[in-house]
Amino acid sequence: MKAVLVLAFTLCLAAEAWVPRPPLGLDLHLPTPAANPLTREKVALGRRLFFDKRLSRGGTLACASCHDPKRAFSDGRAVARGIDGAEGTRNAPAIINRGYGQSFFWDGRADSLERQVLQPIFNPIELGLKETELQKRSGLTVDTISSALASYVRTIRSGDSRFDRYAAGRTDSLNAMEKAGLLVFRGKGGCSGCHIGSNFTDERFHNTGVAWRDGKLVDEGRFLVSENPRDRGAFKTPTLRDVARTAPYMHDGSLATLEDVVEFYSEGGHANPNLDTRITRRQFSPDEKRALVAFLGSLNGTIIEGK
Amino acid sequence: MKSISRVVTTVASLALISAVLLAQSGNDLFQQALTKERTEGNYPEAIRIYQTIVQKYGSDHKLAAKALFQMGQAYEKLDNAEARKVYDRIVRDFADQKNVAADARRRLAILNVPQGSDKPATRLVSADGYASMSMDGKLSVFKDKSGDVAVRDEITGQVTLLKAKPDSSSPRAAAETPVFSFDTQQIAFSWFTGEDLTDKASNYQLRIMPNKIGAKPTVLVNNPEFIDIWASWFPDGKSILATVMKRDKTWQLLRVSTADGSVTTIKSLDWRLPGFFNLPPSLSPDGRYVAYSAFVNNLKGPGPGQDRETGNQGRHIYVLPLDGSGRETEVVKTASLNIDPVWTSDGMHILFVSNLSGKSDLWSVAVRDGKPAGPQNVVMRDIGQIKPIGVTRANSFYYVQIQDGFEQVSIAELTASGGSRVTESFVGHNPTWSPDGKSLAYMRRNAGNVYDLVVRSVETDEERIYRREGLRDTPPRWFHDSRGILVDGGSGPPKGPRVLYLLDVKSREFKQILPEDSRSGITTLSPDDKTLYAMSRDPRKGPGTLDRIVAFDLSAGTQRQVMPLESNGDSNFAFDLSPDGRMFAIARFSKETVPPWRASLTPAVADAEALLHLAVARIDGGDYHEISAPIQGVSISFMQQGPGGKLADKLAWTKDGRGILFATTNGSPDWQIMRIGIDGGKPEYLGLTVKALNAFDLSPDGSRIAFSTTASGNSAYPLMAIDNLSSLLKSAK
Repeated sequence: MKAVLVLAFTLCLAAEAWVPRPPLGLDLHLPTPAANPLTREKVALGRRLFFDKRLSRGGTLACASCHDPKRAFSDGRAVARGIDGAEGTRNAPAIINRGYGQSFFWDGRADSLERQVLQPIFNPIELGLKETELQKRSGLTVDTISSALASYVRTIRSGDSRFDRYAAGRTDSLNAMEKAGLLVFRGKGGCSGCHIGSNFTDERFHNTGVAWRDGKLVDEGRFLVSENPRDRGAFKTPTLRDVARTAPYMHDGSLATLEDVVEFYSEGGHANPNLDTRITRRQFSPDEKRALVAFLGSLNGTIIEGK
Repeated sequence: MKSISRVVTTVASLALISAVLLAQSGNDLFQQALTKERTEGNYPEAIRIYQTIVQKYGSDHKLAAKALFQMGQAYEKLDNAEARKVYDRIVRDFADQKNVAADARRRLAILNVPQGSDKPATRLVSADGYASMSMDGKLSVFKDKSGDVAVRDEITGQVTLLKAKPDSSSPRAAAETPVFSFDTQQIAFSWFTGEDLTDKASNYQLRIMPNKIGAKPTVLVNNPEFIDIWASWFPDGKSILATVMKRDKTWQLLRVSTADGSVTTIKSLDWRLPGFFNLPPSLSPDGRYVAYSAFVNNLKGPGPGQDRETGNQGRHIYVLPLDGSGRETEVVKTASLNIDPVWTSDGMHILFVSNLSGKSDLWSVAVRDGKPAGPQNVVMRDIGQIKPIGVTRANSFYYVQIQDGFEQVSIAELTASGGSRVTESFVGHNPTWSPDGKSLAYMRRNAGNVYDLVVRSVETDEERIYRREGLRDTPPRWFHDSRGILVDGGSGPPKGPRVLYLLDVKSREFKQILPEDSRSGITTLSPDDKTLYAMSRDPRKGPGTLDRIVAFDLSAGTQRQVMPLESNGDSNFAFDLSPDGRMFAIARFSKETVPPWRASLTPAVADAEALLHLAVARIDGGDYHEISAPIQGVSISFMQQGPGGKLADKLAWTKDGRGILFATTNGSPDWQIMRIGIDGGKPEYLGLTVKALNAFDLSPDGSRIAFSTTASGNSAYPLMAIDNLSSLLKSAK
C-alpha cells in the first residue's frame, strides 16, 4: 500500500494542471493555490487518503467517517464523534463545494483547505494521529498528504439542483410552492442577506444567537480566532446546498429539522448582546414557512467527487 | 456670316453634348464605384474605378475631388497608408472644393497622429454618449433613442439603424450596450424585454445579430433571473463573455456559446461588484483573461453604502484566467477606488481609473500572463469622471466623459443657399476667431471651474493648451496681429472680481495687464488693440446688475465709463464693437413690456412676450438708437435658467460693418442665428439653429460661425478618444 502511495505521489509531481468541469450552477473557476495546482493524480491520491482509516490512531476512522458521501459529506449527528467515541462540540459540516470557500471550520480558523485537512487528523479527539506516525503509515510527507486531501476535497461539488435549472432559465423546474419560497428567501426572510451566490454563503461570520444559552455564550465562535469582541458567538454561514440531506443543523446540531431552523429565524434567533442586526423577527406565516422549507429542498443537487 | 454663326453654334452644341456625356459617364462610373465600395465591400475594385474617374475626368474638380475622397475612405477600410496621400492631394490640389477639402483635412488630422509621437491628442468623437468601438476605430455601435441598435461610420458620420427592435415589442424594450465582434460582422447586445424590472416578467436577454440592416437577432440567453447583462466577444467569435446581475443583485461571469447559447459559469462575484451603472469586466485581446474591479470582500448587501464593516478598503483590480485555472490575481490593490479596467490592444497593459491621488486619474499597470509586471503608473492626471470603453488596434483609447454641463465648440459653414453645415466639433467653451481666421481660441474645462485656454489650428486641428491657475471661462479676445490673447482670471468665486492677462501665444507667457476689477467677462477690443471695452457695474454697489460699458486703457491700466445702460439684470445684455472701432452694437432684453398681471400667470406667457431690443451707438455713448422694432418671441425665464441661457456673447458684427448677427429663442432650447442690417429691416435667418447655444463668433471672412453649446443630463456625456496612447504609456510615471 505504501509503495502504491509513493508511486502515486511521484506521478502527482509530473502531472498536468487540471480544470474539472463544474456541474450546472457552479463556477468553472475553482480557486486553487499556485503551490498546489489541481491534478487528476493528486485528486486520486487524496481520495484514497480520504477513505483510509489508517489515518486515525486506532485505524477505526477516516475523514469519510464524519463526512459520509451518502449524507452529502456530513454525518447526521449533532456533533462530530472522534476516536474512542469522543464527542466534539460542533457539528461536522457538509464539505460540499468547499473548494469555493475562503475560510474553513465553523470559526474560520484555517485559511486554506491545505491547512484545514490536517487539523482533524492531528486533533486528539478526532483522528488523533501524530505527524510522525502519519508519515510513517502513509510513506508520504505531511505536505503531500495535505495537498492531496485538499485537492480531493476541492472536487467534492454539488450542483445541477432543480434550483440551478430554474436559475438557468428552465422556469418549470421549481413548483409554485418552491417559487413562493424563493420569494420569501430573497424578500421577507432576508435569507439571501447571508446565503448568497452560487454556493449560498457569504463566507462570513454571524451571531444568530444559537450559542446563547441561559444568558451566556456557550461557544465563543469566531472570537476564539479573531479575538475581536464583535465576533463573540459568531459562526460561518454554511452552504445551503443539499441542506435537506444534512440534518441536524447549526454549528452545534441543535436544530433537528429544517422546519426548526425556519421557526428559529421566524422568531428572530436568540437575542444576545452580539446578535447580528439582520437577524430580526420575521414572523413567517405557516404558508411562508412551508414554502421556505420546500424551496430549501430544491437545493438538493447531484454530488460529484474526484472528477 | 450666317454660316460662320451656324458652325460656331454647331461646335458649341457638340461641345455641350460631349460635356454632358462626359459628365454622365463620369457620374455613372462614380455610382458604380460606390456600389462596389458600399454594397459589395469590394474596395480594391472601387479604388480602381475611382482612379479611372480621376484620370479621365480630372478637369471636373467637383467629381474628381469626390472620387478621391471616396478612394481615401476605401484605402482606410483596407488599412492602407495610401489613404493619407489621397487626402493630402485633395487638400493640395482641390482646395476649391471646400467641403471635400475640409473632410479630407479632418481625416488627415486623425490619420497623421504618428505612432510613437509625443503628442497624444484628445478628441471629441461624438456628443451622443456611450458607444462601443470596432477594433479598427472606424465604426461605433450604440443604443439609439428608439431602443434600436445604431451603427455609426466614424469616417462619414453616417448612422444606420439595424432594425433590431421588432415593431411588436414593448415601447420600453431596448437593445442595451451593443458591442461588435472582433471582425465587426456580428453585434451582441442585451435586450431589455420591456416593462419594469420589479415586474418578474421583465428581464434582460443576451442577443446577437449580424451587422446588417434588418438581420434577425438570435436570443442566446433568456433567463428571468437576469436583470442586467453586459457582453464582450471572445476573439474567435464563438463565445461571449456575459457579465450578468441576478435578481438577488449578485453578479456572475458567464461564457456563452454563440452556436447554441450554452452557458458556463466562470466565476460568481456575488456582491463584490457594486450595483447598476457600472462598466463590465474587460476581456483581454487574446481572450485568455478578464480584468475587473471588485471589492475584496462581499458587501453586506447589494447597492451603495454597503461596504461598511466588511474590511474593504477601496476596490481592487483583478485579473482572472478564463480557462478556470489558478486564482484571481490582484494587479492593483491600493486602498483607493480603482475602477473600470480596460486592456490595451496589445494586451500588455490594463488602464484603469483611480482616485488614489484624491482626484480622478487614468492609470496603467503592465500585465504579463495575467500577473502584474511592473508598478502602476499615472497615464493622465485629473482626467475627470470618465467611463473607459476600450482601446482600438490603432492605439486610441475611447471613453465617455461624465460631466454635467458638457461644453462643446462647433464650426458651421454658412452656405450660399442660406443654409449651414456643421463641419467639426470639439470640447470647449466660448470660441473666438483669430483675426487671420486660421485659429480659434476658446476655454476648456480642466476640472470643476478650472479652465485652460486652448488655441486650435482650424487647418490642421492641432491644439495648443495654455494653463494658468485661476483662468475663467469668459471668451478670450485676440489682439489683431493674432499673436496675443486677452483672457480673464481671478482667484475669487466665478462671478467675483477678475484680473486680465495677456498671453503671448508664441512664448506662452501670461502677463497681468489689468488689476482686479468688477467688470463682466463680456469684452471687445479696439482695432488698435489699445482699448478694451467691457460691461461693468457700479463698484460701490458690489456684485449686482451690469449697468454700463467701460473702456480700459490697456497701457495705462485706467478705466472710464463710456455709456450707461438701462439695467435689466446680468444675463440680459450683449455688445460688440464694429470692425472700424467706431460703433457699438447692443442687445438688450426687456421684460417690462410684459404686463405684471400677465407675467404672473405663467412663465410661458412672460417668455412669449419678452422683447429683444437691438441698438447701435457711437463708442462715446452718443447716437444710441434701436435699429428695428423690438423682436418678439424671446424667452426671458429660459435665458435666465435654461441651457445657454445668457445673452452674453451672442452678438457679432458682420465683416463689412453693415449688419449684426444675433441669436434668439422662443423659449425652447433651440437658438436661431439671425442677421439684421444696421439700418434696420427684417431680420434674416442664417440657416443655423443651435440647441443650448452659449456663445458664437463670426469668422473674419464671414463664411463660418464658431459656436459653443452647453448640454446637461445623460445626453451630455460625450464620447472621447485619446489617440496615440502608446506615447502616454511610455511617459507614464
